[in-house]
Order: sequence, then C-alpha cells, then structure tokens
Amino acid sequence: MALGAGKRSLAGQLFRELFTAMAVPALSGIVLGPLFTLGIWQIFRLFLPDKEGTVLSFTPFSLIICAGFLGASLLLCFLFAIRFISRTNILDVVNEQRKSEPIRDVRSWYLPAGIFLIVFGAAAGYGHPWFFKAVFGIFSPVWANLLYLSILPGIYLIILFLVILGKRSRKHPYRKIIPRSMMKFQGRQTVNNMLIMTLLTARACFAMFYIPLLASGNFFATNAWEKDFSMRLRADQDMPDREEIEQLAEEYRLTVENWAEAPMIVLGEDGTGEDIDENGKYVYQYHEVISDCIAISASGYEALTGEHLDLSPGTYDECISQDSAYGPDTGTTLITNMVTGAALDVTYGTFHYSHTLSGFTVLNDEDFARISEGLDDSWKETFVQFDADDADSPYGPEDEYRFSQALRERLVAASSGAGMDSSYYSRAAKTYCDVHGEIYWADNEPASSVHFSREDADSFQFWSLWKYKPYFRVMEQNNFFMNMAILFLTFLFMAVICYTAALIISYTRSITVALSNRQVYEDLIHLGAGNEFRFRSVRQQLSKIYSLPTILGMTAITLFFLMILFANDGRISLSEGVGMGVCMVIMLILGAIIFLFYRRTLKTVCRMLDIRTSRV
Amino acid sequence: MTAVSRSLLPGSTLMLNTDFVNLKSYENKNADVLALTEKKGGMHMLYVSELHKSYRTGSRTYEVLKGVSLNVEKGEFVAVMGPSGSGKSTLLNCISCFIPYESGLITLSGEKLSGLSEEALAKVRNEKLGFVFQDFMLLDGLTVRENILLPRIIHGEVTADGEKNADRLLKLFGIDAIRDKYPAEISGGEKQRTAVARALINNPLLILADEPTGNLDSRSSRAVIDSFMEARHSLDATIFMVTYDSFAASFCDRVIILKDGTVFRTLENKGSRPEFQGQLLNMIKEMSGDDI
Repeated sequence: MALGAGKRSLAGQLFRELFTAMAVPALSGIVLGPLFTLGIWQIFRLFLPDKEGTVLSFTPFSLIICAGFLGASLLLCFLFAIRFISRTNILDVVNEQRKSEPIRDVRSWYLPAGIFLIVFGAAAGYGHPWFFKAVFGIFSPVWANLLYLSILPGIYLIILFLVILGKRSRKHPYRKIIPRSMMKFQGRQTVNNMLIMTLLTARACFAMFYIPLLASGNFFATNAWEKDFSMRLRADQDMPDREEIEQLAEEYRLTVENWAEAPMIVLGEDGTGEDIDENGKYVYQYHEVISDCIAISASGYEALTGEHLDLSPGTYDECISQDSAYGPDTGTTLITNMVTGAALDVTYGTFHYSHTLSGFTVLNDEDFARISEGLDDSWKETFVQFDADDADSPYGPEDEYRFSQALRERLVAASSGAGMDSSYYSRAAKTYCDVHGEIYWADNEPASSVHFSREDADSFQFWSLWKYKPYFRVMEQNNFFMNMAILFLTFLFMAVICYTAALIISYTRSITVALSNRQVYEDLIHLGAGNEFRFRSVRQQLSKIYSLPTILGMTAITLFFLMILFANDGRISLSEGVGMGVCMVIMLILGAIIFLFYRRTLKTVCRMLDIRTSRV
Repeated sequence: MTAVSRSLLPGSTLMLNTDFVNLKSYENKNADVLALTEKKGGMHMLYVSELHKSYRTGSRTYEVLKGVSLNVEKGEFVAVMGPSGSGKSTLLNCISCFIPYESGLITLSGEKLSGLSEEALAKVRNEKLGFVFQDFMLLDGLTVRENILLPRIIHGEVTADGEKNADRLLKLFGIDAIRDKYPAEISGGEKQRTAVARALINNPLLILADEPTGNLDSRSSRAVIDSFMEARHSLDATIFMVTYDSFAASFCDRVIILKDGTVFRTLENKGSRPEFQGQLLNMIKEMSGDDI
C-alpha cells in the first residue's frame, strides 16, 4: 500500500489467501475427521464384548455442522480482513506492524495473588451452592458460577510472574535475564497464548480424568460385591425361582453356588423434603411418606450375609456401601405399610457395610412381621444372591457372560407395570400423594424417564436407572465400556482436540519467538555469544512456553479433581485414589509426548537461528 | 618514512613502516606473526595485512577488498572513510570475524584471528573486542544498566567489580540518571552512549564502531564522539571507527581513506580539529566523482 498498490487489488489478494488458508485445512479436516473417528472407534472396539451389536454410524448432519463451522470461521476472518483493509491511514498499518507489547512492572505479589485467585475461584465456584444455602437459605443464583472466572486472572498472573520475573537466584541474578527479557518483549501475546494453552491442557485432562475415575470406580465396586449375582424379584410377577435359575445355569455349563435369599418388603418412610419456592428460597417440609423404604428382617439379613444382628424393637439399621458418597439415612422416624396404613415409630440404630444390600433397611424380626401384615404381593419381593462356578465350562467367563445375558432377558421379560419403574420413582410416595389428593412430583417428569417399557431394555438409560436392575458382576464389568462408549468417545475427542490445539499453539508461538528474536540473536553473536549461550537462551524460552502451561494446567485440574472427590464425602476412597493414580500415569504419558514435541521444536528453532549444537 | 627490509620466509620480503605493512607471504605461523608484528615499543593492537575478500553472485565474482593493509596502535582513535562500495563494512566484518576472507592476515594484539574455532571466536568478541553499531543493538527488554552489563552476562558471570565498572561507566558517560530506563524510553544519543559503555565493560583491547553517528542528529553525534574521547582519555581505549561523517572523523588521530577496496590514503590529525576536518573535506573533493 505504501508503494501505491490500490486497496481493491490488495483486498482481492488478501481474500484469496485467507480463503486458501482457511478452506484447505477445514476441508481436509472434514475429510479426515471421519477417518480419525473410525481409527479411534477401532481401538475402542477392542474393549467391547459385543463387537457385532455395537456399530459406529455417520450421519450427514455432521457434515452440515462442519459446513456451518467453516462458514462462520470464514465470515469472521473476512470481516476482520475488511476492517483491516478499510483503514485508510497507511501509518496505522505500519505502526500496527511495529507495535510491540512489552510487559513491565511485574511485581513479586503476582504469584501469591495468582494462587489466591485460583484457589478462591475453584473453592467459590464449586462451593457457592453450599454457601448460599447455609448463609442465605436460598438456591445459588446462576451468576455465582461466574466465580469460577477468577481462576483465569489467577493463572494469568502466575504465568506473568513466572515468565517475566521468575525466581531470581541471589547468587546469579543475571543468569536468565536475557531469555526473560526477550519473552518480556514478546509482549502480552505470548502470555495470552500460554493462558489459552493452560486452559486447553486443563480441559483435556478434565476430559481424560473421567475415564480412569469411572473405570476404577466400576472395577472396585463390582469386585466388592459379595456375590457374583444379586437381584430383586417382585412377588407379583412371574420371576424365575431357584430351580429355574439353576437349570438356566446348567445350560451354560455353570453351577450355582452359595445361594441365599431373603424376603423383602417395600414400605413408605417419612422425612423432610427440600424444595425451592418461586423466590429461590429453600423450603423444608415434613412428609409422613417421602420415599420407599426397602426393608428386610434381621434374620433375612443373617441369611444373606451370615451376620447375626440383635435389633431391639422399634430400631432400624441401615446398609451402606463402603464406597458410598453418602452416609446412612439416620433421620427416619416412621415407616408405613402402604396397603393397610399401619405405621411403626422407629429410631436409627447403626449401619452395616454391604455392597449388594446398600440402601436397605434392616428391622427387628417382630417389627418386620408386624408391619408386613396386610401387604399384597406388589409390595413384596425376594432378594436373591448367588455365585456361579464355571469350572465345568470350557469357555469360563464367556459362558458366565452369556448366562447373565439370558437371565437378564428373562427378568426383563417377566417385568411389567411398576416392575419397569425408574429407581427414583417411589411407589410409596406416589400412593401417599394419591390418597391425600396431592400431585407426586415425579409425575410431572416425562413419563419416558420414569416408566420404562421392554423396548427400552437395550438403552443406556434403562440399564442405569431401572429400579430392579440385577447386579451381575461379569456383565457389569464387560458392559462398562459399551454402556459408557458414547461418553468415553466424547471425552476422548475433547482431550485429543484440546491437546492438539495446545501443541499447535505451542509450536507456532515458539516459531514466532524465534523469528521475532532473530535479530537479537544475531546481535548477541556480535557481543560474543557462542552457540552454547544462544542455545541455552532459546531452550529457556521454549521450555517455558511448553512446560509452564502443561504443569499449570495439569496441576490445576488435578487439584480441582481432588477437591471435588474430597468434597463429595470428606475423603479420597481407594477406588478414587487408584483412579487418580491412573490419571497421573496418563499425565506422564502426555507429558512425554509434549516433551518430544518440544525437542522437535527446539531443533527447528535452532536450525532457524543457525545455532549449531549437538544437544538437540 | 622509514622502511625496514627483513627476512620472513625463504624467498619472501617484509616491508614495515609506521603506516602499513606489505606482506608477501600469508602462510605464517603464529610465532612468526608475533615476531612480524613486533615493532619498537611493543606490538600493533590491530594488524591487517594484504586482506583480500570477494563476493560471488551467480557466476560473477566481485572483489571488495584488494589487499588492504593497516594497523592501529594502542590508545589510538582511527577512522576509516570511503565511498559506498569501497569495502568499509566488509573490512569491519572481516576484522570482527563475522565473514571469512580469502587471504591476508589479521592479528589482534599479536593473536592471529583466523583459524580459531567458533567458540574461541565468540570468546575473542566477548572479551577482547567491543562493538558499537549504527542501530545501537540494545536489548529492548533490558534496562540501560543491564544492557551495559550484557557482555559480562554473556561471559557467564557478573562480579561485584563488573557491576562497579558498569556504575563507573554510567557516570563517565552521563547516563547514570537513566540507568533503570529501557531503550524505548531514552534518546538516540543516550542509546549510543549506552552502547559505548557496553563496548567498554569488558575492558576490550579494541573498540570497533560501525557508523556510530549514522542514526543521530548533530548534537547526539557530538555526545557520542565525546564518549569515545572520554573512553580514550580515561580508559586508554583503542578505537577503530568506520564512518561517513567527516565531523566525527575529524576527532580521530588518523583517518584511512578506502577506495575501490584498497587504502587510497591515510591522513594524520596534526593540527586543530577544524583544520583536520577541512583536510578530510578536501580529500573528499579530490576523490572527484565519488559520493562519499
């Protein structure tokens, strides 16, 4: 433009270049995306037990989304290009090119302030619902989620401090002053890039952490089950008995062992409901029947677990899982027979650890018999649990898996009506509301989410929420990846995309640093800087660009996860600890990939700056 | 003019005089060089003999330096002037070992510079040479004081003595008040005085200045020249300056005029500065048709 080129010709040239720069990678991505997906899916299939029944399908709608994204990106680029071209003052353009954004006045308090803002943001963002509830008695407003945002300036301050000021050695205060001064004069753009890289790294880890945490939780939980098979069998439906189950097992060359069963009843239990009024204020109201109480007798408990309990009349014990995030329900004072209306005043006794009986209430035998009087079969069940021995089977676990599938199908086929309810649909509360002319809250929910049909039997939602879901260890472990496939794929994609973006930004920023400092490095040669000195200077800059966002992002998300896990139940359980251990291993692998990428970039930059060294 | 004939190598003859040295053979060992450059009262600080340098563009070769010989003594302030293309910058780049040359000899205080490894050359540049450039070459991210200390930082250690030396130079060149400012915050003259101080921080044997006043107004130019004079008087610095500026050159003890890659003439400053500047201007006129 300074040499007389017209805006129109420049605009045409710029638009052509922009279109090429944007469209070619985008179109390549659209073509390669499905192939990439297919690759991940093939790896994923290795973990699926049902390889034939689970397929990956592509929808043309995805292409519409891609085209929309490409269109929006191009539009934005062209708008910025038009704005750029429309600047009539050539001096503005020239000054824009020469503008440097030095960062000065970085203070030593940036580091503690940054740490404080991060800790505050994480704690306030996560803890604000508790705060508003405890202090103001109201539901936390939506804007309170913005408290998380203070993490951003916190990370920014820390990066500024570490990039520009850092920890100066008292003995060698000038040791890293040159690379630091260069980065300082790269301006805010470097720090902004590093902030984005930190967020991308954290986001990628956030996505990746779910998989090992869920997997370790599943592994520990299923292994902790006392028996291989356990299920609730409703008395009013045509459920299989012991003989039928043993026969079915024999078909799969299995032997049923350690059979145990006990009668169960479903009662109503009282409690205080928590609701939110139209002003967002918490409202607490006592209900005589607020939810189902699944009760077994002390002798039934002994039959199932072999443990004898001495419960005094009017006392109830609770069964909880060792991994449960919630403690026992200690607040029940009244249990009600929903057919006769007979009620029993009770007080909490103690709790017992049992994974298969988790959530059940144990009553004194006399109390159990008395409160059961008059219940029809729809409120009665039998709890069954057993092990399966596959010693005679040449296929071992595969036979056990097929048996569990057959038994599951049998149970689903026998279930109907209330037997297909969701786990959070309380028949007792519904009955109580009907009697008292009230509307049961779950009836306001979409029927499909609380009442299932047999057609839903293969859905993830049914298998997650079915009230009478049987717990078959071999099936639970094998189906885990399949049931979570969509979730895992999404997380994996997020992680891959975020990491790739972080690596690309790291690379381009490193190259920019090298190009911007090319003259400085030539000046340093005049002043007597040898290859070794210049190599160290480059390495210090590039290592910061790569390592700071990686370390900050990974540390921040690790601490955040630990905070969440601890806040759930005031402890880090064994399965959570193991899950976090796996996350650490993943982070080490990702760190190694980033290190290799960094070494490659360092080599490229050294070549660009004509730094001859054998150290890369 | 005193001429001395001395046997060098079988079949070669060395001509020594106070202005230049003609060397017939370039295959001397370092010991021979020391012997050769030795003269009454010591050795030359800078010794350049029969320097040849050419550039190749495609199939054509352009000879830029055609046997340049010169020497600079300790404590001397010497300028090199000449028209565009006369080889001034190439000469400076050869002396500072940034570019290789085909033949000739360059020694610094008796030490032969060719044949040194890259790291050894870096050490020479850092410890024995000081550089002042037309565009200052200050690091934008360092303060004035830190820029002065830069050669010490590159050297690997900034001792208490080094810091004291920097503070002394800050005072000597009148830039103490701006010691904590960044280059973007100071004037061109102040930048160049900072560059001069930086060139002196390692007490180098020789300061090489490439058009140090080229980017400055007359007032700033004067301040920079004053800095050189001060460095020479207070620190006994030896300065070798390439310049277009006859005003700046008129402060020198000697001015070597380069033309077409050879030493055209050497002028000595024996009278007052204005008279010497007049001589320089006359010399420029004498090189008629040249655009110095």
